[in-house]
Amino acid sequence: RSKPFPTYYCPNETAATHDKVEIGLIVAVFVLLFLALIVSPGYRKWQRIFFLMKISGTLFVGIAIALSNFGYGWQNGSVRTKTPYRQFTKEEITADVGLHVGLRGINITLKGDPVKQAVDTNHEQMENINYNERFHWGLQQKRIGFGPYSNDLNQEFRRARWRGLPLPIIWIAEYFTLDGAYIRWGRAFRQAGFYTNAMLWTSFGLWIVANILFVAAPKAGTYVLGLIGIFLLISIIIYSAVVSDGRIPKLSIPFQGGSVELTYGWSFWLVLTAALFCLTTAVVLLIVEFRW
Amino acid sequence: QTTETYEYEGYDGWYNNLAHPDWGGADMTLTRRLEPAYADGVYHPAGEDRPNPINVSDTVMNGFTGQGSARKRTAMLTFFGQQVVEEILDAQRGGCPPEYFNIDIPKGHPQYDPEGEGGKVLPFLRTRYNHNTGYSPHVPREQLNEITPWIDGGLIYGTIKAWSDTLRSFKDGKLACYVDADGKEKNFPKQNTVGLPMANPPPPADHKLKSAKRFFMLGNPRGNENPFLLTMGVIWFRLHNWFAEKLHEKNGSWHDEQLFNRARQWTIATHQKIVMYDWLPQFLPAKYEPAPYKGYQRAVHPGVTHVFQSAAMRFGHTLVPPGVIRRDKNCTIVKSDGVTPGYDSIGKNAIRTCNSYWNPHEYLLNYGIDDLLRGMASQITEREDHIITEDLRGNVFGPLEFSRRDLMAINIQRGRDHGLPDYRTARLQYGLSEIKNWSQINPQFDDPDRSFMKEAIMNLSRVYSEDYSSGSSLPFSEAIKRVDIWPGGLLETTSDGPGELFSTIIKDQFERIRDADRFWFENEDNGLFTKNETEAILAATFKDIIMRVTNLTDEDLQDNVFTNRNPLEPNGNKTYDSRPFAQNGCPAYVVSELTAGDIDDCTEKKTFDYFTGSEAPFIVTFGAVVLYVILLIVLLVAIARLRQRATRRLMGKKLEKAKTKRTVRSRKGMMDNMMPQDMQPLCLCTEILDGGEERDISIYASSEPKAEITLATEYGKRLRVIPLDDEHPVEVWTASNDPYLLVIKISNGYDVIVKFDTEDECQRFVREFPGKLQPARIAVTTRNQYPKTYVMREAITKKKRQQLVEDFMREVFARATQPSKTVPMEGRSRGATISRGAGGPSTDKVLQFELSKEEFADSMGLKPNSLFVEQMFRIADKDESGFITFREMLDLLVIFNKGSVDDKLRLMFDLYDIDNSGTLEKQEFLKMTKTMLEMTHTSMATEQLAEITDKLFESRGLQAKDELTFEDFKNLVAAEKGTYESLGDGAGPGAGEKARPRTMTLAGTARATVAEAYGEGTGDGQRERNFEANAKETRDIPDSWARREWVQLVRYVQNYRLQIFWVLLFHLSVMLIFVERAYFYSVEREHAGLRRIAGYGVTITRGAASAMAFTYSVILIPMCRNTITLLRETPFNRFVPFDSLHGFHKHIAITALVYTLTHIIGHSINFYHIATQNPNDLTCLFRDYYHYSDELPKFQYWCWNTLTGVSAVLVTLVMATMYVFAVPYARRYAFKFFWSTHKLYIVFYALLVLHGCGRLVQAPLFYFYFAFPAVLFLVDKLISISRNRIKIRVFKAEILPSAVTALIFKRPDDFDYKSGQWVRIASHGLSKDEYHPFTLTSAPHEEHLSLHIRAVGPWTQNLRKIYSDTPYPLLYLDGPFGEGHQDWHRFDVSVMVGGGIGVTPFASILKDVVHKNKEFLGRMKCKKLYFVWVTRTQKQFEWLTDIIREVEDKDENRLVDIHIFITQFYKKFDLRTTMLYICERNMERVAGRSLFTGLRSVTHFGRPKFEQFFQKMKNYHLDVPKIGVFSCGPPPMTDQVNAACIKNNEFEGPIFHHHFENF
Ligand SMILES: Cc1cc2nc3c(=O)[nH]c(=O)nc-3n(C[C@H](O)[C@H](O)[C@H](O)COP(=O)(O)OP(=O)(O)OC[C@H]3O[C@@H](n4cnc5c(N)ncnc54)[C@H](O)[C@@H]3O)c2cc1C
Ligand SMILES: NC(=O)C1=CN([C@@H]2O[C@H](COP(=O)(O)OP(=O)(O)OC[C@H]3O[C@@H](n4cnc5c(N)ncnc54)[C@H](OP(=O)(O)O)[C@@H]3O)[C@@H](O)[C@H]2O)C=CC1
Ligand code: HEM
Ligand code: HEM
Ligand SMILES: [Ca+2]
Ligand SMILES: [Ca+2]
Ligand code: NA
Ligand code: NA
Repeated sequence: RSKPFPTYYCPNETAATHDKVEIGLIVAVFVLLFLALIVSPGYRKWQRIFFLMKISGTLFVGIAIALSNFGYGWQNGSVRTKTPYRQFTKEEITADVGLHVGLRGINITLKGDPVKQAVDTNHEQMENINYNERFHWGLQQKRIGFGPYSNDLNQEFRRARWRGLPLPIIWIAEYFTLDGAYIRWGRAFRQAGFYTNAMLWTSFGLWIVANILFVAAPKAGTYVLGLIGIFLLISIIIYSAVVSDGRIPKLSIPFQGGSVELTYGWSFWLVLTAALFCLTTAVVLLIVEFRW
Repeated sequence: QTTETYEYEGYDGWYNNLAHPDWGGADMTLTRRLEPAYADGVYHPAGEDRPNPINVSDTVMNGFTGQGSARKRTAMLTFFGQQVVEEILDAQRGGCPPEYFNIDIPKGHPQYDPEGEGGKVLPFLRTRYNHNTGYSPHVPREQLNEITPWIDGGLIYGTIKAWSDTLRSFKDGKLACYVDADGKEKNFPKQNTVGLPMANPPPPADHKLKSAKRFFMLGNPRGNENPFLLTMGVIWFRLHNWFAEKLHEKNGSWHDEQLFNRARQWTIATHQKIVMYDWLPQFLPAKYEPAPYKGYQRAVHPGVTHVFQSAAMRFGHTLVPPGVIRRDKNCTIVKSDGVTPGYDSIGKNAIRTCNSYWNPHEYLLNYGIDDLLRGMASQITEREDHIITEDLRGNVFGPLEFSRRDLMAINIQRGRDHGLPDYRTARLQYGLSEIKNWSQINPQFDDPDRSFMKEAIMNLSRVYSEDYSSGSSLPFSEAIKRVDIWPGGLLETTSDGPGELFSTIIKDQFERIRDADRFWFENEDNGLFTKNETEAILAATFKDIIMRVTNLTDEDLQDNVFTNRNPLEPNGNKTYDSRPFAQNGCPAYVVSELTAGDIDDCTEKKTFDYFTGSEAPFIVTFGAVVLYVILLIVLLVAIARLRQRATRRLMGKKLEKAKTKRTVRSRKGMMDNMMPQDMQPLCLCTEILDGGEERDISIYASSEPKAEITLATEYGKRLRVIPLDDEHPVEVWTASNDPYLLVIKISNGYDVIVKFDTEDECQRFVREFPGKLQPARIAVTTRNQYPKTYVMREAITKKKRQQLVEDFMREVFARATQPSKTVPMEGRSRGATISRGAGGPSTDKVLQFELSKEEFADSMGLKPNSLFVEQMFRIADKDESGFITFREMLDLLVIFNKGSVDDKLRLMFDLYDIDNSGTLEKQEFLKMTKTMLEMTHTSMATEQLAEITDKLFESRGLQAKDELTFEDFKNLVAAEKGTYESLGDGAGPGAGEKARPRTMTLAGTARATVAEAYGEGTGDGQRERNFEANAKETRDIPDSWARREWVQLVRYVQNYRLQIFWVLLFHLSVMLIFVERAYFYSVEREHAGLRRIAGYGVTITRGAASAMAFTYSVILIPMCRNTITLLRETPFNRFVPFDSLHGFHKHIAITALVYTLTHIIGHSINFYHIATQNPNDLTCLFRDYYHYSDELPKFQYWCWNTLTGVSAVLVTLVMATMYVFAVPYARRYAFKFFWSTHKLYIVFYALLVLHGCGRLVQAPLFYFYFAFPAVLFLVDKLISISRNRIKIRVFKAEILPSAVTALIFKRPDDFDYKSGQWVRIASHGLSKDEYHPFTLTSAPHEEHLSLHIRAVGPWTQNLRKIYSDTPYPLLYLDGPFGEGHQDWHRFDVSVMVGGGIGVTPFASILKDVVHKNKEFLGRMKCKKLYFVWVTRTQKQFEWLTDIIREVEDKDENRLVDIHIFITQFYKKFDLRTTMLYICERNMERVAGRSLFTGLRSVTHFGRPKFEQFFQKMKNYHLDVPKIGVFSCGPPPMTDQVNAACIKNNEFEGPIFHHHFENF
């Protein structure tokens, strides 16, 4: 503070690179695990191990469902490129452009290399190039265009235009605004996201039910665990089926020196893992139950 | 420049202007330079008072084509112009939702209504607009320009970068080329195999939809409209690649991206130059030549104006020729050779415009573009005039249902759609002179060479003066104010081209586009081109460009391809060379339909019904659903029947089993009522009881020691013993037409009706039966002549017999109480004659009727072998016939009623005198008293009883006597003489009260209070008064039907006001939801347009859908039993009739069904409407369902290929299943199927969720309603599931009278409950999943749980059956639920009122009280507890008396005060009550207990008068603030209790809090 002026800190100009929800969830899991560890001495040797295994198993499934539902790692693609960065200048920047697809929208990252680059030689200004922008497509396709009844993503795109986001971000987002004939990436990802999201929420609800049942009626709990596995598997199947609809050309966003091509990301694999985990655990538990 | 980087222009036009990022952006609103003239100032189309556009088109723009342009403009200019439009303007997409603003077709229109049917329309869709506009007057509707107004190559690259990326080859900066079937590249744009959304209307020549993949990929989505336009597209495509190549040659190091971007810049710049400096000057008259470039104007807006869009620029339409010729290198016209099958006819000179729409690539691929370019350059285009070629005016393409439209009518309508003012106003607002009369429109009005224009203007004036709406004419001077801009502006046309207005508008437009463009090639500040480069661009002509990209040489074309004017000829000269000119001497050519053989005719206009192909699937789908429901019903009936048959068939096997079982069982030890093991049944069969009920029995007949027929269970447990004697013969009837049926007719009892499994068994019985009775000389007659119906009708069933008994009793009582003249009262002589005159045949029957001992016992609710019954019967049966005749019965009753005190005492004496010795031994007295006590299930130690008796004897000084004489006996009961006296005139009960020593304890006073309230102790008249009261009540019953109904209604409302409130609330909510959604979809969502296509069907279906979402959600709430348990303990209990929730569930279900049917039927109509729609409109309406532009979604698509449709069909089937199996019939006969189909609710809800997930019309909504109830239900269910679902052992099952069954079973380990709560049980003997609720009658402290279950329906009856014998099936237990009445202890004084089976909760509570009292005595708030038990006859719930007795025994502090009200006493001629009543006080005297109940508690007769009761109580407990009242039982009773509470709360004193529960 410089007297007599009021306290005022320097600006902190960084992109929101981390996801609050993700971090919150992960922290919550670790807190729970920690609590479980603290409580565990209350159990006897083997029971303690079982207890911790159960807790971490169920926490894993829960966190997997929650994280991947909100995560932007269903499909990822990125490219390092030299690209125009903004209008009104002819300078190009070197940057990593990334596209991260979630169930509710996309996350586009643009990180300069170096982060600070001269963008307009005329004015010798250095810009901080580190963007992390999100676009959501909402529940419904809605009408074409960018007006109030258009798709959420289109509206966000239009707002981004007004906000003047860097060109690479605009270019990528724009791909998802198209919706006609066979060019319907936004629609496809949205539909995939919608159904997958529904499946995941169902699984999540079942997960809560399963946890209650594991205490109350373990056998029913096992069935529900299996059911969770099935639902998770269905969500994976739906997702990949809708996203790779053969009629829609594969999304490939060209940049100088390469293009952004999408491959399945951590969210996808996490759900698949959780699905297999649930199914195998359920099967094992059922076999154990039948045998003994 | 070494870096050679440039700022590349974007695609969507944004960021051209630094200060206004959106200026020139794609999909922004058009610019309005004229004041809008919307009819409502906001969005209603302008020009409501203007004439029918078709009329205008027909009158003004009709004429022969084939006349060449005056200024020798070429077809090249025309189609280049069309292409320019598509560079800067695209406002052709219809709005979403579609808004039809159709144009009426005049009746008898030669093209559109040749049959003169009338009422037809030309479809017209209003333009898409900015949805932020058009709501209110300050911002009227503004339509959108989907592309950029810039000349920025949108037509080549698209206005979206992603689009452009799709066109690229990513090699050397080039655009991708066409690859033919052989994999060879062609110099055409790549085919649209990737599927870009190119505009794709149905080609009118084909009249069918074709895939958009057939087109060339261009930046211009409309570029494939006609071959000439497409030729332009190809030229620019090629030019880009030409530049890329050149740049690549020059800059070998450039990579693809750089090459592409730079080539794009060059191409755009070239396009800018040609449009602005070559084409525009030729298009406009010379004096509108664009002003020289003065540099970038950053404050100028480039927006395309509405008037440019809707009118001015459409000037090009007058230039469009009906076809274009092709010329080869030698300048000869190439005749069509039919290479493009179907579209161009062999031997024609030109490609017909109207027949080439939307198939242009076919021509180009076959003919190339060179010949076409030569043709277009040499062909003089259509004349600048009012005449529009029929290819546009009448034959422009249209939707399938109207394949050829009138573009001129559309142009006019478009202007109105966009809210354009009239022509005169437009001129004024553009600063042009005012047009005051028609001749001022065109400067060449009087030019004789252009007299056709004058004529057209005259026609114009005529059309516009004819009042459009009323038919009356307007003066010409007025009419001129109404002229639309399009015809007005068009008629300004001179030989130079567009007139003043259009030229001004167009010039302004292009200048702004140029000046506002930062990327304009001449702008020196944008750093795109060097001076040299700019000059090079400026130097290039279109001819140069054509030559760069085709094989055409300088020889092939004139220098200025846009005009075919001799360059030597002075500009603007109105006389022109009649010998047209082309570069190499090619004669210019005017295409005309008049020149026979030049062109072929436009194909016919066709229509299309979109419903085509939907009919069969539509009918099949809905038919199938109906069929399914019918099948379900058939299935249900079949199942019900089969199950009944199966049970019958099963019985054969069961009998065998039963026989073996019996031997096993009977070895274990014989029980009292078991048949001796050595006795073999005559048969095993099924007895048919009243109401069609059946039970398996075995029949025994014996002569020794007594002649009797015994009916027993299959296991040999006696059910009924029929004593026989030789005076009463037995008949056996078999039906003549049913070999299985048999009736044993019993003359003094009801008949035995049985059914055999086989004919043989039946016949065997008939054979063997008489033999068994032979030794007792009982005659058995057999009959077989009557048919089944007759046999059944004649059979005296138990009910019929009971009716007889009742009639008998009534008659006897009537005679006994009202001494009729016909019955001589003197003496009890046996032979007294009874006059039969008074009665009819029924009286006859009664008089001949003989009451068996069994019936006598039964009418008292006692066992025939009870000592009391034996004695009573003996006394009555004077002639010892074994039956009581009418006379005998009457005699007995007369004593009770009218007899002297001595008579009555004599009777009592006789009753006690067991051995009929005339003296009463003490033993006899003791035995009789004990029997009476036992009868009431009271047990008293013999010593205790002896002690009491001794005391009694002592008090009368009779202690020494061993035998009492009648005199002694009289003495003994002398103190009670008064009582017996009063009996004579029907004194009420409780008379003995006075005599009782009163310990004025709290209890004692309380009792006195109640007694007082009933006027007891006053002795006389009570009974009479009660009779009177009853009589009055009967009289009160209104005689008129209407009043009766009314009173019933009022009573109903009184009884069910809470239910009515909730039901009404529920219905109001549902209706509100319905109305809200209906309103939303019919009014508020008008802008979404659905209503427009499906009418109010949408309103109704959406309303019903939301109502369903609500009902199907709340339907879960009544099923949340654990939650309800919780809530019951809260004050909510007083406002919510929790007990009715079960019924409410059904009520909701029925409501939901109504809305569901509405929804389904509504959708059958909607689906019809939808299947009739243009698919494009549907694409807008159902945004989440996509179909390609060449697909016609039929009914089957919507119904079977969409998530919404499929889930709808499935959920309908599931729902139908649930409903059909939920009907009472199903629940009765196929309960298992009800229950298992009902479990489909999981599937049902899953489908409902999916149904919404389809998002056909709106975002999923169901979960919004569903979430809360679902979570609640789930949690609730989990609580139930998590309860130990262990099998519970039943220790004991007691078959109690009045169809009550008591089950005593194991209490699960962690089962905690409060007294008064209920549980749900399922029995292994019945369906394991079928739970029924019952109140626990055990108390929480007890080791086991118990239930008392009254058989009222199938399940409870079955339960009674299966628990009538061991081994008892196991139970499942869920619960506890419900509040019960455990709050009683929170009040200082509590009253519990139990009616009928409704005492169950109190049974538990009473036990609890007794238990608790010991421990909580000091602490408990409650100081006094009244228990009022209202029952028809005490025998109904005898088990309760055990509990009460226990209470009495343990209740040392007299906490509980019990009153029993027996209500049937006066109503029915209940012999037992009457008899017992006589003995009641006697009993009380003797044992200090009621004979009726065996209890110390006071017994009252008649219904309690709660009001008085409470009033007294209030007076008594004046110091208490609150009195808790808990009632349970029949609703009328609880209501009366409630009313009494309310009434009493009106006065000062304690307040009554009423909690009630009626199951
Ligand atoms: C909270 C509560 C406590 C009860 N306590 C007792 C009690 O202590 N003693 C007693 O004799 N009766 C009690 N009843 C009534 C008893 O539940 C029904 O009489 C019995 O379920 C009838 O079944 P049914 O198939 O024999 O008769 P039905 O003819 O099928 O039905 C007769 C009535 O019982 C209802 N009913 C039938 N099946 C069920 C079911 N599975 N769940 C709920 N209601 C059903 C029907 O709706 C109908 O109104 C109680 C009811 C409730 C709601
Ligand atoms: N477990 C349970 O609780 C069960 C409950 N029920 C329900 O209970 C009711 C009938 O059961 P049930 O045992 O047959 O009962 P009853 O019909 O036998 O009635 C019980 C007693 O209440 C009396 N009563 C009725 N109305 C009034 C009134 N307004 N004021 C004072 N006393 C009154 C009757 O008197 P009166 O003889 O003068 O009518 C009778 O003595 C029905 O509502 C039925 O649904 C049925 C089966 C099982
Ligand atoms: C074969 C040639 C042509 C055909 C078939 C054709 C057909 C059409 C059609 C169907 C429309 C849409 C009408 C509406 O719904 O409002 C239209 C609009 C228009 N036409 Fe043409 N036209 C042709 C040539 C031309 C030419 C040569 C010009 C001008 C030089 C021109 C200028 C316009 C303009 C400015 C519009 C409005 C465009 C828009 O709103 O996007 N047309 N034309
Ligand atoms: C499609 C509409 C319906 C739905 C979604 C539905 C849902 C349910 C649910 C969830 C239960 C609770 C089941 C359980 O506790 O496991 C239930 C029970 C029941 N429903 Fe329905 N129901 C519907 C229609 C009906 C209809 C039409 C009737 C009869 C008219 C009916 C009568 C019953 C009955 C008698 C029970 C048994 C309650 C019990 O014994 O506890 N339901 N229903
Ligand atoms: Ca007799
Ligand atoms: Ca005797
Ligand atoms: Na443009
Ligand atoms: Na013309």
